[in-house]
Amino acid sequence: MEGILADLLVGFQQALTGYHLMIAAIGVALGTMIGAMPGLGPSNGVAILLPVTFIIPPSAAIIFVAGIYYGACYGAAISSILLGIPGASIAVPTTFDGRPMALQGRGAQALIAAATSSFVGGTVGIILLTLLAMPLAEFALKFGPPENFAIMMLAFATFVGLGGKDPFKTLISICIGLIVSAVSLDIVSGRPRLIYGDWRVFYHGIGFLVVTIGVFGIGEILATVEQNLRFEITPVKIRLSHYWETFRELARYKATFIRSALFGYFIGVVPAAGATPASFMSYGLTKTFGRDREKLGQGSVEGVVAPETANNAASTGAFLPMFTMAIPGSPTTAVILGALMVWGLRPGPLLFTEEREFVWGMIASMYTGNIMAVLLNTLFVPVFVALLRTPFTIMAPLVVVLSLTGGFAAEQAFEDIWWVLIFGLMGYMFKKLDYPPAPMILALVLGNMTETALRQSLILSHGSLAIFFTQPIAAAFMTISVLLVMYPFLRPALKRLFISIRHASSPGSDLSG
Amino acid sequence: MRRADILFALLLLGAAGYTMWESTKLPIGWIRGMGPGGGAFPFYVAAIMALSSLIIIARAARGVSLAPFFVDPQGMRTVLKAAALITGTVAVVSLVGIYGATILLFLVYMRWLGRHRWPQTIAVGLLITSALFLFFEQFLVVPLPKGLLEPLFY
Repeated sequence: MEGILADLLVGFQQALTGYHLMIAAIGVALGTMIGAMPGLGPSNGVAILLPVTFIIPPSAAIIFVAGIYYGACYGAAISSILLGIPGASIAVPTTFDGRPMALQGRGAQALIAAATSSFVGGTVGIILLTLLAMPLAEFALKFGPPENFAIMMLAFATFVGLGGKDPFKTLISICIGLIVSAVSLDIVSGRPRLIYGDWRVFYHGIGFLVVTIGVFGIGEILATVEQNLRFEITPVKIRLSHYWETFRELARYKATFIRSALFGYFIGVVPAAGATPASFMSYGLTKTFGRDREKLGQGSVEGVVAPETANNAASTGAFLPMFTMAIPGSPTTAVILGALMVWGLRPGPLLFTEEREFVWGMIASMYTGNIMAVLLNTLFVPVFVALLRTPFTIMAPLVVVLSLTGGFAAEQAFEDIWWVLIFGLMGYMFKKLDYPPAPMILALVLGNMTETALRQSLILSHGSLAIFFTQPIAAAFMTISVLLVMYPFLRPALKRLFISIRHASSPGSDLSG
Repeated sequence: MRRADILFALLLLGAAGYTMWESTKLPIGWIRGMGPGGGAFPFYVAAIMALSSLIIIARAARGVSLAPFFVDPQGMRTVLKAAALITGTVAVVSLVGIYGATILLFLVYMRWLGRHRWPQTIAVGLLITSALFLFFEQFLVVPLPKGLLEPLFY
């Protein structure tokens, strides 16, 4: 405990400097804007604005990027409530009750409830992150190559098992990421690898940045353009009396707050899952266990509390495995993990000893950043509403220009603009044909580490794959991975089994047909 | 949707096959005392990818999904126009530079796809381009390529 307090103190010395406070405020404000914009979410925001981080030191850059992430988790609720169109996938369940509230003239209460829930979720998340980071990092320090490989398999397996509609499409997405990461040089022999004939372009490899900006910038904007979004903004005015009224109402749902925060955090920590499943599952849980569950869907504050608490807790939770084990807990932290490497840092448990100020500075900044975010999202709602009025025919070319310039500016190479375009078109096809893009980004980021861990493990075992199942920690990870991969295929059978058990135990059920 | 699904999976299958072949230029087997060869990792990953593409093709070929790839014809027109414009922008960057391409994109996009009036279109285009210029050249001191328009800036 004393160690944690000392670490946190170091962190606050970083986070409370004027410069870092300003960086956090800018990050949170930009994140809220991007979150509020329909179609763009935290991963898009982080990807598009990543090039900006090259001009500031890593300790400020991580504060900025984290601010965009949780800022977007706050902001996404604004359009879910006022437009009825989710600002990002993380806030889809917020429309279920937030939108009806706005239509009933209770938009102000919905916005205050969303911001308050986000604050509670974020703060619970950051406290848990503070407490769990060191123990987990110490555990991860014991990992050798087989454990490292096994935990990366676990991250990929979570995607195959729990994310996406089709496990094979997820698998392809992972494979493309791994292949792209293998382009350029063979790490052992130093000979050129996958240069597709003898293309000079491939010698440099394909940067993580251009793929990410392409997929999450250009690809996402094309998919959004196609929808020809037309929306009407429900006007709201937040008065001081609304706060007290909403807080009194929120006090009824303490259990929902606690459940959603803890559950959301847990989903965030699970490799690769992230804030979107967290908010959906938390809404589902509240439908089963909520205090006023029968009112859910008709404009109940509880229906705003559940997803908004969970998605912020999850976005914070996703940092835990990312920092301690270099395994991102969500698509956005996959992008941030890639950024970490571009900044020249080596993610993993050693960060906590070698880059103490960097890690704890960010953790501490999340305490202050969440306070900024909740103020911003209640006091400055009119500003964001005005922003939502910006025609999409201005926003779209703006995102395109930012993506292309950002892709170019990092390495100053013309071919990078083409890569952004190519991966943008691919990202659009992915979106249309239900290939999840996040596994590709994760695989691209982890590709070299995965290959190195696999190679080292196989050298240790003289070529036998059994090493992944004889070491206890690795074996546990691998077993869970195998079960996760099998889950989509076993699901229909499990469902049948479940139904037949229910039928057997309740003999009257066949009467209902 | 079904046809698009099959065509895209065929493309992926081709890419995976080519990658497998490309990987074999490095050893893909076990090298004594050194572990797996440099081509092994991409080779087996590409093999998994090829197999997955085949499964997707086989399944889609049996399927009966009649949903079209483009749900709404207006959306299709917009997205094709936008994609063409973005490609055009990338193509002219080496000619007229980043700033020239930016203002061109805004003019054409806002006028053609957004049907904004000329004064607004020109104002927004100039504003964004100047902001971009000030940010990179003045604030960051990172000169971006200006192509044929180079003389205009000095």
